[in-house]
Amino acid sequence: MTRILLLLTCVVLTVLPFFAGRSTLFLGMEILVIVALSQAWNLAAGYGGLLSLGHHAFVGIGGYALYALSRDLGIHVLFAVPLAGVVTGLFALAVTPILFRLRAVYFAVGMWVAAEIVRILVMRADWLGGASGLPLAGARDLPRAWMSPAAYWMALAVALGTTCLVWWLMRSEFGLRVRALRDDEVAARSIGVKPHRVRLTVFVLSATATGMAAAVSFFSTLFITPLGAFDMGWVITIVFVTVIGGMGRLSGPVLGAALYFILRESLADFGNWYLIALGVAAILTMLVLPGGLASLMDPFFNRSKTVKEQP
Amino acid sequence: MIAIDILINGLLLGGLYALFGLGLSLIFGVMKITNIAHGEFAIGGAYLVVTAVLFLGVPLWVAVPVALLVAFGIGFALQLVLINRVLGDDPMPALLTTFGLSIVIQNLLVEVFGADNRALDIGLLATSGISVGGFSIGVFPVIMFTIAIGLFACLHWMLNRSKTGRNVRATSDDPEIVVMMGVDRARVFAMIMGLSAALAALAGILLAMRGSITPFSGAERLLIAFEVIVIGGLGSIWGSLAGGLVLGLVHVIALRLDPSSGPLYGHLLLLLILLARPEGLAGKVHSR
Repeated sequence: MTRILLLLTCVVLTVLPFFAGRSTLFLGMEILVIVALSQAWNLAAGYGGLLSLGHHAFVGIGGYALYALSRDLGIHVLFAVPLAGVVTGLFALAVTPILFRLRAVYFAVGMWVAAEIVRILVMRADWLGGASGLPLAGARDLPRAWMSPAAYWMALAVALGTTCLVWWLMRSEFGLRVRALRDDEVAARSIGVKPHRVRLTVFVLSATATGMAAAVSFFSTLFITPLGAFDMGWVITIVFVTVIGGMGRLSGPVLGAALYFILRESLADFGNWYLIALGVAAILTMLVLPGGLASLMDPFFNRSKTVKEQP
Repeated sequence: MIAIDILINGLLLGGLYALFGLGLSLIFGVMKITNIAHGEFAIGGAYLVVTAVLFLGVPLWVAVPVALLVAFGIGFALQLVLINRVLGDDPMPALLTTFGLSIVIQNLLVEVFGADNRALDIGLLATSGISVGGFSIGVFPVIMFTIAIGLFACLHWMLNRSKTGRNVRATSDDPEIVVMMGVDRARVFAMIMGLSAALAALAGILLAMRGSITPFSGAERLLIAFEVIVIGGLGSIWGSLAGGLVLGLVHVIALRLDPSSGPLYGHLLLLLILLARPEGLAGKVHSR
């Protein structure tokens, strides 16, 4: 039953561009990008225990990679989007020798500092347009009428892809290693889990997905600036969505994104009050419902009861 | 000559940075409680004084002590009703809760005061300087520096000589055991958070007197405070002073050599220290 519903949802989401108007399509794309970004952050923070407050570095790098690849190498935008994710993943791989020396709070703030460094460096880089930003050179690769459906479909692909990736990873043996490491590092090491290798994989995958989702988002805006690309607002949204939805749960980012957009759209006339409401909701979630909205559905699925007690 | 000028200005700026770090050093370094909202406590404290002086017409010398008391109360209350509930072996719930808190405070400030720059007018004090051996030194930076050193000395005394300080250090060493010795752990945490918030507020007020602030200044201040305590060495009060002075020097030198760099070299210094000497300048060796 659940599978049929999920399949039906996917079909409806896929054919949406043939029925929906421009603004609906744009909102749909935004929602899907936030789902993908939160799912990617959830993979690192919720499952892997690598809580980062600097994922806006990956958002910015993914966005700028798309613009640079399409302008300097002339790569078609549709190929440049996945490649932007790969570039972001490689960047993540390159910074791990420094950042993986840090744990917990130090890692979280260290990532934030790293993101600030990247932002300042990009603002000072003339070939990336400096502080004033860049237009998307590859915008002419696609007919104008296809721009927003293309952005939407790519967002759908990234959101579904990231969700399936997390789902598949966590069902695999690798997922067991990831969660064992998060729950008890000493115990995990003693049964042969290699902490560094596991964390590296999770972190790079998370960065790659983040970069791809960001590339889709900046593909639709046709212009990129350092202030928009490396905005702390990305991390704020991602963290609130994931925390409210449920960290370390597959449905968390989806439920959190739903609440985020309901609040944002209904409080659209009241300035920043939706952020205040979200912040309060996130704090309350930490206090009374640490499993997030997703844990409210647990009683209906009886997941926990299928786990056999160990003697 | 320029070198000495840079040295003096760097150290004086470092005094202010050290003050930002001092509050965080108490709560995060000594008590090991994560507080991402530290920068917002500082900026919120400054806005309390802005409200009192600009909107209520209270004289500055009355507004500042009242604001510090209010900041203490807010920190105390938040720890008691909120942060104490999410503490545990895992620092992540506290990190996420205070992150949420910081965004709420920041956006409340935007809604109430708008996103414009605000400054506290201290009249002639802001511009007056004294001339020492051919160098012109601002009076206000010297006052800030003196306040910072004085507070470091006070806190050092409080932690190492007073009964309260003994309870604080004992709670820091083993929060489980002190409860058996009759120490109210929740109250010790709340008191230190209050003290940390008041120190942050003072630093924020001095920042608003020295230059200007916006509701978004908090994040940058948190990163500076974090850099100060990591560079100085975690858990060491005097280390934070050293960390502040080093960071102040780096910022002033960077501003002279590369005017558009902003906080870039401070951030790079943090990564360098974490690579080369993770325990900081004065810290004991801990695994992180």
